[in-house]
Amino acid sequence: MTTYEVAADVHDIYLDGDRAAVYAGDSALVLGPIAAALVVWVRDGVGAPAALADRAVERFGSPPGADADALITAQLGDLCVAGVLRSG
Amino acid sequence: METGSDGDGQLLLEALGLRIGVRFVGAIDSEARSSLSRSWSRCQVESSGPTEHPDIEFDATIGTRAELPRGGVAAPDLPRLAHLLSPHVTVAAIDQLAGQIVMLHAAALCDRDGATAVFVGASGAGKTTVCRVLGRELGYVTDETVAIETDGSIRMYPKPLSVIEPGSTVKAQISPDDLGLASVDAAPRLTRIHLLERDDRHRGAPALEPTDKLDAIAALATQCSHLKLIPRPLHALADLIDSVGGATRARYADVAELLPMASELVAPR
Repeated sequence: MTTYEVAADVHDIYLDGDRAAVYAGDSALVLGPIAAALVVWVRDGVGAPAALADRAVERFGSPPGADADALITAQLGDLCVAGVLRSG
Repeated sequence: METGSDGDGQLLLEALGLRIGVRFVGAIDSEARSSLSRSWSRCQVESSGPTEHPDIEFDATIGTRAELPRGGVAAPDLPRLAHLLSPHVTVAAIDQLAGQIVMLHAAALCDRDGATAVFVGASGAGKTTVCRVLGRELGYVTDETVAIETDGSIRMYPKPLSVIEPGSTVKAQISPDDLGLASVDAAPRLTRIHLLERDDRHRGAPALEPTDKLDAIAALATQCSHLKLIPRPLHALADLIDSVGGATRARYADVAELLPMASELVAPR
């Protein structure tokens, strides 16, 4: 089963309200509320996509007309591409 | 000034709080030494004596690197040596300070009380031009690298300014004294952070627009040297931004339009 963790090359995560800045590799990224929440949850040890999707629905509500699991999986994939998370 | 050093001479500089000895070796005549000395007029310091050991030392010559067994800077003529010397000093200081202090790729200017604005921007963003224009009213701290302590104090680095001269393929290195830039009368301390955004399409007076904190952190992070070696680097940048009440974007078409705003640019928010 795929799980996620914060990438080793993440140097810092700065939270400001419900958003965040992440310094990964040589890049600094600004994350919106859902991505920021995912990174914080992963940092705090929640690595399973289903558990992350449940938390996201609890925090932000169900996405209208879309599948929460699919959206969160896509978001996690984007964060991996950006070097913020890694899957294992 | 030159200080004695095994007959060839040495330029002793202070850059970002470090003492840097540039040893002249080989075919650098007195005229060339005087020219380099003049360019670095604001960074030069007196040697404390023959036992002083600069934090960094390297050789410089007009010739080839083969003439520098200890490494250093070599160029075939004086203009190109001057052109290479400036980034060599900057990089040497930055590398020495890696992980110890936040270093921004920025210009800095201050008022008579030391209130200092930093103007952050990538190469070509207009930092040197800002210094040449606003430096008539505000003290010249640097046009290249700003090192900021956690208490907001700023280390001086009033290096020569790189200026494109007509007909030359190499930027001239001009002393701030020769450009008539104001000197610094009080220890500079951070009061404002401006993100430089020169835009030819901008109309009207320059705009100083408050910037979202996270966007400012991301912008500063891309213009820092060795940032990842600083503990909790984004938090360090956030602390700097908070200390000045937030960063601003300075949008303007012509840098001359910033001159009447000189006091406003450095005034604490």
